[in-house]
Amino acid sequence: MAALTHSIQRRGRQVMVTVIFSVALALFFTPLIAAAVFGFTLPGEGVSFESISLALRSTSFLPQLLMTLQLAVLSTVGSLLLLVPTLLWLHLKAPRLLPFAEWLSVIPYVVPAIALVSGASLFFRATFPGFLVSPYSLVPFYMVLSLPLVYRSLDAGIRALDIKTLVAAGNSLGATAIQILLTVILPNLRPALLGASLLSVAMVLGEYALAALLLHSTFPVFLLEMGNNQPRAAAALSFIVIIATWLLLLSLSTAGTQRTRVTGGSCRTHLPVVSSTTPPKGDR
Amino acid sequence: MPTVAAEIQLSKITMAYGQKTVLRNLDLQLKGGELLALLGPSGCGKTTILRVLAGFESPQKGTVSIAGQDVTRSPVRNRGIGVVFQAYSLFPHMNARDNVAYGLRIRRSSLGKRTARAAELLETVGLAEHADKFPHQLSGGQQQRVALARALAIEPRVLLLDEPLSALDAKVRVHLREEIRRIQTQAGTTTLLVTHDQEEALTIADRIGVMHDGQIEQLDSPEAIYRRPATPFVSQFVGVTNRIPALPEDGRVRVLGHHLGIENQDRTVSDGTRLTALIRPEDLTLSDDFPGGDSAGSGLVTTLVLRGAITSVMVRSEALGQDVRVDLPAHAARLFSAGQRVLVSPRATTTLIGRDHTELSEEDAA
Repeated sequence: MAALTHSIQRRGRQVMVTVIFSVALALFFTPLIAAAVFGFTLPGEGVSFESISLALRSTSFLPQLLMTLQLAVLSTVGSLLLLVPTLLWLHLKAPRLLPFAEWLSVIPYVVPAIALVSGASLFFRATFPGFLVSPYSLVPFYMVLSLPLVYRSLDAGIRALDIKTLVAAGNSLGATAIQILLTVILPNLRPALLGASLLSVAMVLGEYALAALLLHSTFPVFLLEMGNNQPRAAAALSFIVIIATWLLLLSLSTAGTQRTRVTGGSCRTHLPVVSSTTPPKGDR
Repeated sequence: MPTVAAEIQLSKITMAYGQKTVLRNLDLQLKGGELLALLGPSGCGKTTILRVLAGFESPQKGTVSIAGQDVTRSPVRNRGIGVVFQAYSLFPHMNARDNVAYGLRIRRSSLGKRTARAAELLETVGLAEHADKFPHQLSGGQQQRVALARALAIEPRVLLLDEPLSALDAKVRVHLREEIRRIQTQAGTTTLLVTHDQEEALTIADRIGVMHDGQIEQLDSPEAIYRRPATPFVSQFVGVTNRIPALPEDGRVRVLGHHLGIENQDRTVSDGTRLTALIRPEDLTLSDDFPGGDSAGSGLVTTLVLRGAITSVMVRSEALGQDVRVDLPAHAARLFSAGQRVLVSPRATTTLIGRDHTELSEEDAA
């Protein structure tokens, strides 16, 4: 009797899990599929690539995409250059400050983009008016926005290594701090660095609010403008960008996992489960 | 393998973390080529000594010299030390060969030379066929052997072993400590081993320093540490000790109905003080006859615990109100059985004493 009850309970749990999982998948994929259907069909013509070709022919498509890619690379490199040494230092020399640093790293989540822009505008227009003119002025803002994601990815990677012992071992074998960083720490942090980079790139590719408020033309701004005039083209382009981001995620994740398996690092790939390049309407 | 036998001298080392002083005016000397074990409970300062010697910590006072050279302010990498850590410390992204060759790579040795040296050392630690394996493909014991080979690859003046076996299971630990001793003897490198495992220290060290509360209580050969402990703490920390109430009488003590001399005469003993004799289980004997009817050492056998070659006989003494452990050869212990009335007597004519039960229990807790 008890066995029967147990079996029924287990079956009930399985059904529950299946239902919840299916609903989640449906909610997740329905907008995507809807965007694809909307973007790649024309009323009365069925499947059509007309709208996407229209989007690609736009004069601002390529420059804005290239600018966004540049911003993504610069923000990512900037974030890593800032955070990797900082986090290593905190873990090695001031572990007590880690909770404080972690708290600081989430502040960008609670400061709305509009507040950030307003404050920055007031400050820079008074002190250094030329700064906000260049689209590259977005880089520090993007570094701030991606801070919570990049921080966590790197922090998890560093925690997975016993860096104190690795550094001590490297030291005892005659290596300088720089040699230890380059030959021991960074190679073992590779999966975390990849994860952090991907998060940062994905964040920049989908960021709309800051760019729009600071009057810069980036790819998400282009998508929104196109969405106003040619909604089908914007939907198609969004769909392609999301798929491209996912493929990038997958390839990095696979590369990281393979490397972890080959090298046997105790670290894991810290890749995010995010889709950042969504149509910009919902962006903060 | 080269023989590098540097003498080491730590003089008047004082080391504090914030308000807590861990080492106070500590002196320690290692002779060239010897293996000295620092043995003690957690928090006694043994690892701090190793870290000061390695250069991971800078002492507030005192000097560290290796082969006559003052290295107190030298960075770790210039001290010529090899360290095997308690935690697995192999570089996860390198195979065993590259791990062993790392120190030579840093010293810009040629590829051929460092590969040959790595192969030689992996052969020495018995892992030649595992050279291409990554740390996660090696067992804990194998990883520590690679770590030992890596530490020796740079021909260190001093080898520091920071509880290298504590994460391993018992069988591997026994095997590996013998390996470490063999390799250390072969290399002739002056070695400091930090451990809390008395068996490890007793079996492989040339000398043992028993540490307690930031001080070295006794520094002597393993034989002397075990047979002639200088303090009650050493007698209790190394090996098993019975604490048996003793009464002072004319500068001696009366224990289990026998008059014994006092080994640690530094203790002030006056008649009427409550004392405790510290007697090892193998220094007690059992018999089943009661000459003269003296019942001070009599008791009932409660349990017999077989420990291989010896058997521990637990005797409940009504007069003392406590259990006394007597270790006998297994064949001799077969003469006794649970419930039997027996007489416990000390074999020796002298004993180490502690002042009273309170003091001893405090020391024991430390």
